[in-house]
Amino acid sequence: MPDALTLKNVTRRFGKILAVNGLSMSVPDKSVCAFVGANGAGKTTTFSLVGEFIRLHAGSIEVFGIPLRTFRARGGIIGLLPQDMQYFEDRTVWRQLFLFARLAGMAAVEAEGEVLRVLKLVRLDDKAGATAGDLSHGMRVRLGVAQALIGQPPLIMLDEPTAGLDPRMQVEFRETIDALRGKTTIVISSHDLSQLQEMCDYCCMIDRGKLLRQGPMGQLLSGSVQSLTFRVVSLKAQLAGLESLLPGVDIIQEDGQTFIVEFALSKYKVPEVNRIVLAWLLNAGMEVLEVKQTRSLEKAFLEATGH
Amino acid sequence: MAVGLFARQVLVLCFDELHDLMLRRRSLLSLGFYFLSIAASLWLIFRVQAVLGGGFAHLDTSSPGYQELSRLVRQWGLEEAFAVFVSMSQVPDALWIFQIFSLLWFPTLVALISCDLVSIDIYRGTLRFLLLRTSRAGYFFGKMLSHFLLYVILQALSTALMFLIALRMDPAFTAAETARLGLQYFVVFVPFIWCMLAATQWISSWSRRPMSAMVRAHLMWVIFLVVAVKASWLTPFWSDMVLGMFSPYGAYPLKALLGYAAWGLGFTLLGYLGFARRDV
Repeated sequence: MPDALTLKNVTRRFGKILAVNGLSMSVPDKSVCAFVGANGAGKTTTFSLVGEFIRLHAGSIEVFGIPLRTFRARGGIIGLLPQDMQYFEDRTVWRQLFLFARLAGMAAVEAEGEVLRVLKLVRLDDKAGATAGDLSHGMRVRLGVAQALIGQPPLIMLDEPTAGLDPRMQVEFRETIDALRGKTTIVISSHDLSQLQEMCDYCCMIDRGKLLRQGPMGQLLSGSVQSLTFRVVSLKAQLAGLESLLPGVDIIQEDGQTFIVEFALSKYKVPEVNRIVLAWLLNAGMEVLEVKQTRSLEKAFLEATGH
Repeated sequence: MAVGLFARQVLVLCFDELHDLMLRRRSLLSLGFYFLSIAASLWLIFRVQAVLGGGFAHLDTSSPGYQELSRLVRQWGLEEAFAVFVSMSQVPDALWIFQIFSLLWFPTLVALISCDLVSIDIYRGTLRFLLLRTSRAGYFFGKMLSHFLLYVILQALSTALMFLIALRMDPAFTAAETARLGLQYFVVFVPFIWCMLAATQWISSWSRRPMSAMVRAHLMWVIFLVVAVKASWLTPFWSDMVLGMFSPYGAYPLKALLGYAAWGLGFTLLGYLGFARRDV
């Protein structure tokens, strides 16, 4: 099976600014892919290129091994939630989605069923009769996701879908992604890297319009720096004592129960650090609740960008 | 693109746009202006009838006055212009007066209603959602078809109304004659509508705001008018084409038909090619 999305030497300029600079990357079919990059790295431009909102200056884009233009000309749909989503403010949610479904080639009856399906999926079915102008920010995002899901596209791209969502809505969004997992390919761009780490099983990192790294999430997270997170009932001793036992490691206290030990794999091995830390905790009379091997996407990204 | 899907998208967008058009304030105001203009032409037609009593439409070519006028026209070298004038006397007043009025107000009507044909989706940011599901060609021609249908239906209804008035006011013309002339006027008006619409859509497709598209559309017509003073054949206001819109004399109607069709095609290609390459 070809990759869901393949970019080959994609280039796009805006005047003198090279927004995307020979970007080559691929997203495996049925993966949930985190698309990570700093501001101005070229994420939104890449989304716009895949959506054909803007023209390529060089390179090529393929969807399931087919050139993008041919894929779309054959009636293929790419579900895309642009960052600056704007709706027909005076139209009802239902009418907007119905139009998109009809444009996707569905007959009226089929389109009605499809609108109902996506509205239920994003839990917006009770707002079908409301105009877009009357929706809250969170609901507008969900409407955007709903429009991206119309026609069951095999590739869905969501640009900053969780920006401005409250925690409950973020959980609901994750549930929506989980419901789609394994059925379609989803590419998500977001600055909330911890959330991406939780949701995604694949990752593409870009910087200054070029690919830095790509691969399965687990593989990207197993880099040269490792983290162990320890959680105890209550931290009773100063962590400075532990630092003296492990020279060269970073120990970060998160709260009264949790601290993280970060170390270079070239200097220490995980079992060795584990043994030293656990012995120190037990000697100090602290009850250990949890030990977690962690390396955050944020760390991996910063490392990849050389920061 | 599969032809069936393309045709479906064009029709879906066409009817969606027509529905949307009926809810826009400016469209409704413009249509109000259109109906006022029809009322104004009707008033003028009735005034012309009251003053001339139908005399204008029935020149007596054997009268001494007509003979003297013909001699003067030949002397001054104005045979062509006179022939055009005489040809109009062979059309019911209601039809030609309405046709001339239509020529005057249609560019403004089209600029008012169609200035936001594309620019409104750029302005409110809905273009991206639409282009995710349709090709640029589907979007462009779906929008064009909707406004084209609107104007053609309006003009067809207005011409039919004028036909009925002409039948009542000009009994010298048979119903068949009046119908033939009315149909000829309508047929030459269709490419004129296309030309006006395509020009406005071209401007709308590279404008970011409907209002700036409207201003630019008017400016374009003013520029064409200025150019027409020096070289009218370079503009859609070429006198041969304009004459063909209301004079059934000689090849003028054919020139109008083909000329406006050519301008319509030119503006359409210009608009589409520009839109297809545009970043949105």
